[in-house]
Amino acid sequence: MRNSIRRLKHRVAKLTMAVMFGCLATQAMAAWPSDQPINMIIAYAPGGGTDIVARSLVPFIEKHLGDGAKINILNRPGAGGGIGFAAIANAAADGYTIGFINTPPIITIPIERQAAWTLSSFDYLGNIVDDPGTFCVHQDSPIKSLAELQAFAKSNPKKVTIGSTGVGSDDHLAMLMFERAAGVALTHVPFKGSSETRTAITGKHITVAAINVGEALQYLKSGSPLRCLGQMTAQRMSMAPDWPTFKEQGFAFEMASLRGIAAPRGLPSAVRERLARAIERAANDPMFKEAAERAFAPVRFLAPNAYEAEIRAGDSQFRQLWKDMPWTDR
Amino acid sequence: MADFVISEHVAKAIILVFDSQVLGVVFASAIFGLFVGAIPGLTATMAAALLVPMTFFMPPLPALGAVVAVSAMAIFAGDLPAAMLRMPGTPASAAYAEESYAMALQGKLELNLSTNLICSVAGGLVGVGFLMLAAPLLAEVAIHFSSFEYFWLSCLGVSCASLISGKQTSHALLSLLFGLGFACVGIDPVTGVARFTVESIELAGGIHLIPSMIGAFALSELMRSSAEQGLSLAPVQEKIGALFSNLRFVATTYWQNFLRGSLLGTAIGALPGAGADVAAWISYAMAKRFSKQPEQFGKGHLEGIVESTSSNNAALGGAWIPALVFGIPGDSVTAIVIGVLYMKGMNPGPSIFSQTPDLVYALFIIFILANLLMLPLGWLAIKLAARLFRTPRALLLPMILMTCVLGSYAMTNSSFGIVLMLFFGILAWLMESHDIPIGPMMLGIVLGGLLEQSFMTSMIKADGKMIGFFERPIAAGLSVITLCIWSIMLYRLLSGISNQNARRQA
Amino acid sequence: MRLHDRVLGLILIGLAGLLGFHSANLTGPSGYGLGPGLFPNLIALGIAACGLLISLKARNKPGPMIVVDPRLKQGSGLIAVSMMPAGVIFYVLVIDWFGFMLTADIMIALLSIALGASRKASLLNAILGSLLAYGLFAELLRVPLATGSWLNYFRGF
Repeated sequence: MRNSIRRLKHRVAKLTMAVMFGCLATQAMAAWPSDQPINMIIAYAPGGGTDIVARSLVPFIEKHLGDGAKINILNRPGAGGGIGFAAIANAAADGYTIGFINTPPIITIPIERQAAWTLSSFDYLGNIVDDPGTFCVHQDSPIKSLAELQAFAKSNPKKVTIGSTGVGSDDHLAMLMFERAAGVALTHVPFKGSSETRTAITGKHITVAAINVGEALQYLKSGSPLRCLGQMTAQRMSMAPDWPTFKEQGFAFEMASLRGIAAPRGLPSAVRERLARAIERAANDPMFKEAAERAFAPVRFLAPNAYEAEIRAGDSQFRQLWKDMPWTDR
Repeated sequence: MADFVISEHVAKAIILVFDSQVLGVVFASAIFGLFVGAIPGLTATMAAALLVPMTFFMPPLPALGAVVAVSAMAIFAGDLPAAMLRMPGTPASAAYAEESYAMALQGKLELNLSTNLICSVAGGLVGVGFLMLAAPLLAEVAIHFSSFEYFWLSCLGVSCASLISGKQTSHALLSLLFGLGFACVGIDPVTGVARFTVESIELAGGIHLIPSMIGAFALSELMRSSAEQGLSLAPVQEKIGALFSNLRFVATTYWQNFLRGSLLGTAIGALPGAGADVAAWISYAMAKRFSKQPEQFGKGHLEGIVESTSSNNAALGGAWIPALVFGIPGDSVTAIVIGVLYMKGMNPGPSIFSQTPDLVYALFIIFILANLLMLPLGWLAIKLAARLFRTPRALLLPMILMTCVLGSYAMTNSSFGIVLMLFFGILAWLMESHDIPIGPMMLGIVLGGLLEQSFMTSMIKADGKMIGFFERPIAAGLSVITLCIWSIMLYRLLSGISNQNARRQA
Repeated sequence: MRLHDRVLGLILIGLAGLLGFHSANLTGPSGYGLGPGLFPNLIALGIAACGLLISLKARNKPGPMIVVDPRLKQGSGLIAVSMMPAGVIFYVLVIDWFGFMLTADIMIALLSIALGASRKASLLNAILGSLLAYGLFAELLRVPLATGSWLNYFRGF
């Protein structure tokens, strides 16, 4: 009796192992993209701007890839995006790892310090969001335009505090470019994210908040007492038709944050084309566009070549800026 | 007229909530939260983050309800392994894990767990109460906390380190300094300079709290348990029976602790950036500071537990205050929630009360529901956990190690988390062999970043003038409190030395 | 394993020195005399002070310099304490090669055996445990667990 129970237990154990092996082996025989989920790396924490756009987009990419493709979102925040970007660049180029990359960090981090990637480490698959920067002040502030800001800063050097989302962020760089264009000196107060900046400006702890258009619109819609002084685009965005551009006010520069999808360089061309096509269709899908509008994410799709070209152009621009005014002291 | 309008919204909200989908989701998430919280290695924030993809396809109310339920349950469930295995299930339970375990060793496990349950529920309700009744007012105060106030606050929080741990202040201070040092690893957010990263891109992201906590508490405990051959885990009583018979005793003896803990917890939760774990640490220290029997702390005394367990649940409610009123997250869970809110078209911020009042009231009701649900589910969880944790050590410990490894991996999605866990586990084991408490180190890691950042940011804003730290009214008040505490601590430290000298000369 | 407080204090002072040395290289914006090196320097100072304090307090304490738990001296004691960290190291080293299921099975089974469970119970525990963990993490929580690269040999077919 005992022996037969023991033998039964043995058999059950062996059977379980066999089944497991079987499952694993059969999985191994299917082809991309159906056999394994694709990992999409987001270099920022869940709930942030990039994360929301990615989560809204992923179901559409899955739909347009077809073949039962599944995409898993992995958040790998840290080092201003550096950890996530490095993870994308160093992953195997087998089509199972893609990720969102953001400018300017993807460009500026290698300029600032030794980074685990260069711009040539990626296969660019398509840009999704183009979120330009703005300067906003508290509603109660007497400053109503960029010119007034410039005047105020000139007469009160170093008194104007401007909050950004971190050293080397698009907001910080925008501040530097404004300083250069307006001939003033501002005091930079770096925060760890736009929500901290929002707190600071709502509580009037800083004079100006440098945040993106999407965030500014979000905050205004939910009732934050802000006034936008200008947007850093070539023309006024359709989402924000009432805000004058920096160019209109006499400060000729633009700063935007591009958020797009890339993969480690060296993807097999069939995989790359399929991904790029699926991403293009997903970004142009009307339901996605609706979701993006609701989240105040300005969509501007760029095909892979155009995307790469803009990034490289940004690279030269920032390298020049770094030569003139390096933004970290190293 | 206004009453009529409010009750109309409340009525609508009740209808919204008592819908089968909403209730079903809330119930399922509560169970999920209970499960996640009870496993050392998985945390409330993790549970909420992992729920986000699922909430994607749900309408707003069940989505929010899921997150609320999951976090409330998980914060309570973290107390279970803390008491039974000395491994906190979530960072919020770390403050009183040792105390709970000490109680369990004395055969008072039932008292401990029932107290934890009742205080968690009651504390959570206090937090919700403030959320419902005083949110705009509290938020208005919270928004005035600039970097100066945060600096003094984190000083205060860090000073609690000396109060929370046993014997020698010098050892507690050392542990705290380790923690602050670890918090410096990574890219300094104020200057953009990489510190102590030895060219490792992973270290550039800093020391993650969760893997280090899992390592320091769980792994070191696993190492200790496996070394103690023949010693079983905390002797768990056969019957965890009348859980609520202790209610009267706890209520009459420790009501002050409960009140202070819930209020402080709500307040700390309402501060953006400080959540349940900070609230628990500070409340535990406060309990010890104001206790008439401070020497009992650490030996299995209920007082500190009452205060900190109500505090961490209250902090959950408090965290929603700035989240709803300003759209600014009060802790890591609400940071995720805000993302979900935006995705659903609800705009957290001052106008949320006028734009979608029904949803807001419905949210409040779900909060109350989730906290009340904790009673039966928590009771069930306690019974199950008691049975589960009685599994033979040889089989249980490796399983727990597995969840610790996976939990650390899940937080960073890379083996780096596991390596961190390993490092801190061995470090904590070495520290405890030398009577250096690990609590202060965890507190240092949690608050170190805030402390340094707020200091630097304040200096930038004050243009280098130290007087800036005392100019704002709230900052001035906090600074006075902090400096008083520091002088008391210094006095104690020095008198400790002089006492020793006197004894030696005698 | 425990060092005498005197030794501990000295080690801490040494550690503080190392820390201070490294952070002296941290420069930054030179305004206000602050920089990224400020806090590390302060912390190093604090650790040195604590080390000194601890060392001085223990100046006259009796006892050997190093106390090793007698249980550790025996081979079994050493294994007992290091088996958990060893399990973790094993996991990290082989996970990409063996994949999650296999690594987890081996790790749990070996640890259970080392802690004294019977071979059969250990194996069952391992299989059950790895399946549960897989179900919870990979399926429910969508955490990507490594599938072993040894399976790549099958992919060719």
